[in-house]
Amino acid sequence: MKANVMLFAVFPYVAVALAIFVGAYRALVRPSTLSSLTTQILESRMLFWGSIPFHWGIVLVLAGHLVALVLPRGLLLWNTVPLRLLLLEATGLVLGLLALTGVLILAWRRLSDARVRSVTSRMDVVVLALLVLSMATGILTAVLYRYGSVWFTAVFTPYLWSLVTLRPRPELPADLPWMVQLHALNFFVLLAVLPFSRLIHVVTLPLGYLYRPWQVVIWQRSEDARTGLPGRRST
Amino acid sequence: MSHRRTPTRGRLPLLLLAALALFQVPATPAQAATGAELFSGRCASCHGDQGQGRGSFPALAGNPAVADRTQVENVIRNGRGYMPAFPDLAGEEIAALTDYLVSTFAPATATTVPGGTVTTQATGSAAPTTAAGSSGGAIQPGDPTRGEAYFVGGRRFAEAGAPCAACHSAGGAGGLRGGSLATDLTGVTERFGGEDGVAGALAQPAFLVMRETYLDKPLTAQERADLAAFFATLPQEGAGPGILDAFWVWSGLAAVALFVLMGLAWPRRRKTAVEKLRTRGRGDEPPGGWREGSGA
Repeated sequence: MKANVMLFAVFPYVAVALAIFVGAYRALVRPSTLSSLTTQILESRMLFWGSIPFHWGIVLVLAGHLVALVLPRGLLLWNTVPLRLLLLEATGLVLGLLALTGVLILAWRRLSDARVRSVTSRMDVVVLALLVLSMATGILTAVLYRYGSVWFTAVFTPYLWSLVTLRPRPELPADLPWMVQLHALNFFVLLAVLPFSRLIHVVTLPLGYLYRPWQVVIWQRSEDARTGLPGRRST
Repeated sequence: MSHRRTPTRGRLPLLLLAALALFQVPATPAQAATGAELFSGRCASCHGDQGQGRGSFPALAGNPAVADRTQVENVIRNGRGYMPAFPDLAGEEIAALTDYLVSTFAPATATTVPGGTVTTQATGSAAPTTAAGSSGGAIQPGDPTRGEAYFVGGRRFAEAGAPCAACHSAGGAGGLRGGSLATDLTGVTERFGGEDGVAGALAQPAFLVMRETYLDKPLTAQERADLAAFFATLPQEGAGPGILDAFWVWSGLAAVALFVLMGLAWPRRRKTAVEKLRTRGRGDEPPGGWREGSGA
């Protein structure tokens, strides 16, 4: 079997199957492990500088990829005006840079802080390395091979839909530069390790809060709140 | 089958074409012997052993231009664009090779060309013998303004193929420079031997990435003519570095600015319960009640 078929037609299904079935197994059998296993209590300063830019960057960039997958025509329409295209590409790049800087800070924190390192597993290091690779290749793709926001819709949108519809077309990404192929493959690798790592916490996104019934919260009021002066500092 | 790809829906015309081509080879066995040898020696290295094309080397299989004997002989003799001439071939060798190419790769009729159905409709009553040579028959002459609109994406292709500027730049066309995934198209008209060459190459693009992405989204004959006309208006040299070549610098600066904003937010962030306990323990903040709740 050709490497291309292996990597772009077989492996994606393996990765998705692992993500779904191992993820479901973990959720059913060991539900308490569906967690990011936060270490904020051990170190919070570097976490702030790493986690916040990383998560804002990665979530918005992933959302952008999703838009290109679901609304390719809308995206193309947006990109017909050069200034809008420029804004979109630059925004994506800024968010990618935020995410990369953030994950580098997180990696540094994890390895340099003794308390955090003592609770670090090998899989944590693997995940961090994969994330760094993902963002580095993504940023290089954006800089070297513009305009990803347009050609994604011509190459990866039909490719990903061909996977979804079970008629894979691995030839579509076959001719792309290796940097772009690595970026795409790395995504499927991340998907495959997701259920085996702390990445599983993506499923704990509390979307239920958006539609759960309201509830009354009664606070045990503080000194400050009673005086009606929020944030007041006594002298 | 040309690409050894999984047969899926929409590939039927290609399969039919390949089958036709196979059936036609034994029809002229005497000529095909030397023609085939010449093909594998002189052509297959670039155009692929099945004539399927490779990289920027156009496919011969199913290429309407291959149906035109005169054009084929001319290209072999004189070369075209990047393709070298073959002055060392004798007249009968060129004839044998041409016979082989036409019988093996030319579409049997215009209707079997994958993605070429529009051509057939456009050329309408063109006789099969002249179909390949008259691919610009009933369509209007290419309009460079429309071509530019197709290029930058302001005008959408009928089959929803991606605009050229997604991957290509072409001088400073479109106000901003185009993409950098693929080559710059400055001078493409010369490289492909005129507007017809460009339009022909777009009929069944054999280039990397394009080959697959336009497989099910072919350009119509009119669109190809418009684009070719637009490329013909481009200046000979490409534009200098454009504004976009530095857009990663701006983006880097913007990212730094966002970190500065974060720095402003750091002292004002909501402290965790643990941090509060710690600071209270040190006595540098007066005791306050609990602000954290569990039901937010």
